[in-house]
Amino acid sequence: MIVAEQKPLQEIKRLINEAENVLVVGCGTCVTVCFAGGAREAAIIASSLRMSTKLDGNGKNVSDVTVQRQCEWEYLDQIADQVAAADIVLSLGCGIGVQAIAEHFPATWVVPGLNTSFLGLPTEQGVWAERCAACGDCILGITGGICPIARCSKSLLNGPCGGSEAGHCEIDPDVDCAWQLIYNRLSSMGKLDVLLEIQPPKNWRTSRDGGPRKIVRQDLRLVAEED
Amino acid sequence: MTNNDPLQIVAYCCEHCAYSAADLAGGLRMQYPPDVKIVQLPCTGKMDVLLALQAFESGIDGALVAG
Repeated sequence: MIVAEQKPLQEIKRLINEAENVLVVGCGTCVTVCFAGGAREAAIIASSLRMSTKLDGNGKNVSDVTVQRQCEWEYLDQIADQVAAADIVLSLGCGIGVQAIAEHFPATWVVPGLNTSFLGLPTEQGVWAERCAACGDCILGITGGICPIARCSKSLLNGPCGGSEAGHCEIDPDVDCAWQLIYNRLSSMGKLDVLLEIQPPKNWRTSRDGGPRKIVRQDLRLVAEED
Repeated sequence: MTNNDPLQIVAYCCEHCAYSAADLAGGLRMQYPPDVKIVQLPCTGKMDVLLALQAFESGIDGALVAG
């Protein structure tokens, strides 16, 4: 999932300072399950903003609504009237949701209520950890299902480095050494020979180094949309 | 409200203990201030930040969670 966390209330208040009518838009997918921007969080932020701005002497009209996914036009169509009535939209979606609202409603000023953090999973209740860097050229098949791009601090392809200490990374004793994890897993599965193959430098053009990415599936496109 | 107005308190009470105690107090004709508004919860585990925010937004002075 996309993992995010809320911006401090003071920062959000600065972002909406100029507006009178504020619409807080939650998202019902990734940021709901990481407790950052779902319906409950949208209601809490809206209530907090109403009270806080009232105490500041410039009370704002703050309402909230949550869509299933902010990153699809069809769901955004459902809130078109509410967006049109607002001076500003405070999106509690990830960065994709914020941009989707800006793109779908060109006349609307939209600001983010969250900091989008990473692609990851909850390792235990209340703890989320990064697992994928979306590099566009997955190598999990040769690393035992543990990603050194996302989980090794240096994104090494042939690790570990000299900073691996007793299974932990030199940047922080609380961070596991990804290559130690890879070694342990391959060892337990009797596949250590996989590590004998030296990996060449990675082609980063499929990652951000190649610029903004796009996927076109001709088999899924509608005829009318084809160029 | 003025400074002389009584404080408005919302008491969120677990139905298995605190609410039952308030119910028993009523049955015994014991008095408690009318400014305390009791909200029955199935469990105080149901208590939520949003409940408290909504109560404060509507003008209460304090919230009591009893369970």
